[in-house]
Amino acid sequence: MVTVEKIDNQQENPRQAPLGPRRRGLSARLRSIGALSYYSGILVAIRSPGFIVFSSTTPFTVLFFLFVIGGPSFISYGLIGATISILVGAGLFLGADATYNRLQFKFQDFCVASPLPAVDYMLGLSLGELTFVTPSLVVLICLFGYLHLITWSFPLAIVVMLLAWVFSSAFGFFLSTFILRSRSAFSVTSLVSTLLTVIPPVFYPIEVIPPSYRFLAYLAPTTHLSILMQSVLGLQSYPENQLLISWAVLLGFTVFFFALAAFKARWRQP
Amino acid sequence: MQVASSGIAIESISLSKTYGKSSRPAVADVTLEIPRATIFTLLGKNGAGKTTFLRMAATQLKPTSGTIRVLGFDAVSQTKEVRERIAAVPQEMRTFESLTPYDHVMFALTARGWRVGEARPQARRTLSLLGLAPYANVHSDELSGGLRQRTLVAMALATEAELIFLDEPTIGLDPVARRAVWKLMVDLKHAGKTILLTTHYLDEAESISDKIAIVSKGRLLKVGTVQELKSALRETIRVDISSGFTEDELHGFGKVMRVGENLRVLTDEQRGSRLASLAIERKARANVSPVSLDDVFIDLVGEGENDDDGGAD
Repeated sequence: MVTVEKIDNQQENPRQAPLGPRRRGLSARLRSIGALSYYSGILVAIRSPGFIVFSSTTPFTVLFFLFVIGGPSFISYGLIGATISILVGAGLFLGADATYNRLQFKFQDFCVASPLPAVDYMLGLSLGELTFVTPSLVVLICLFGYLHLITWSFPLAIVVMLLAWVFSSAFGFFLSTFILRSRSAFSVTSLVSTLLTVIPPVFYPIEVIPPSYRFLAYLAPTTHLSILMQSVLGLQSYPENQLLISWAVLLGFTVFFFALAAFKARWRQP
Repeated sequence: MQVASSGIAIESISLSKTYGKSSRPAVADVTLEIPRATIFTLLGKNGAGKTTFLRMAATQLKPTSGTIRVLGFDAVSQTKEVRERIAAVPQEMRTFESLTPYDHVMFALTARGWRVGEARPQARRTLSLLGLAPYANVHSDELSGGLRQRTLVAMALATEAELIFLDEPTIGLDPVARRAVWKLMVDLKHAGKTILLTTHYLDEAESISDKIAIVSKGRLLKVGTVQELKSALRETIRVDISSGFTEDELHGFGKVMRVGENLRVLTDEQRGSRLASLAIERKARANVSPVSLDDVFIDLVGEGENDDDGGAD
């Protein structure tokens, strides 16, 4: 017979930490976000730099073909397209990674049963995801400089890039909480990425599309990102009301998806 | 609003959970109280409802009906208050390949808002207590399954949360590693923490649990200390017989069950002694011992590997 010894250590425990919850002020929340971005992004990028190359392959490939086929006249549009594509891709790949964290690693469940709110989790992971594309963005910004596209209005271009990143990260995270199979994660996010960055006029001007079909392009938020970037960088001039509409649509998409991710994402399972 | 008495860590009242369109609830009408500063174990087969109950208490899953209060707070409407005080290692959680055990524990602590300066010594101390110090800086993809599992346990235990949920934490661990985890759990209990554990291992439940709840098919069958559960069995003695008797012959001595190729008889002292004498006469191979938790478990839930009809555990 197997005898089972009762384990009962009556020694005084050295781990007498104060009971009760830790205060979660703004600084604690910032530390949480920083920790998530460091351990899910920065550290991984340092230890596995291959991910950096992987995340930028598609946009730079499209840029290369645009240059080869279209010549130097298309390179500026290509640079804008690649920038949008990289930022939107980073947000959507957050969706794939968050799906893996939830279904494969069970890391989301670990975080749910902790003081970490869903929004902080999303922000931390999105900053981590940004790490992988930062080197590509630096290269693209250098190319903007080389082509004399950086002017006094460049800070507005940075705002557009930030909106691209925020709306796509929120969308990616929201989507991830509803994906039921981890094997679907990359196919769903790749499909959405293609629908948002390759088909709409992101790498090319909207004038290429026949006027009667342009309304379809306007449905994609990335079209508005592209319009604003082209305008801010002085590549194309658009009527003022068109620019106002694009800003409004972009801000609307960003607020909508952020609110969706913050309040309607499935943090706890139903 | 804090509603439960301070001596209770978890209190469920008629708690039920049915997944999707499933016809059978994964947890059915469970009313249970788990005292603070104890190690409480949910014991059951696969699909019994252990994980589902744990996930509802850990605010990871919404109940279908009933109420569940954790540390005095409603686990459905007061999740913020509950989550500040708990930590959980989900079943089948996995480590991240490119992170080391030290990174994992630091990640768990700093993601909860710990300052790096506080988290560092705590991470080192926890890794050392779990025997992970020699592997602290080895990437997780180079560690054995047992070391990875211990890393996950360290992530939760390091947090010093008031209530820790461990869903089959020692699965895949060797006996030495299991004991290191048990010892840390007992230490935490003595420091006033409550641990809700699920396990398949009866020896684990028997060794460290203050109280055990046996669950089957989503229902709570019995709750008590190991002694209380054992005394609930009318039989006090078990006789394992490997030769010399047929199953029919043994029915007169007590409850007979087949355990592998052997026959097991659960009986009282008088009939057990008669059976032992008869076995000696027949030169049969028999082993007499007191009933164990194993016997209580089999008696309550029956034999067979799984408890479900395809639903989640």
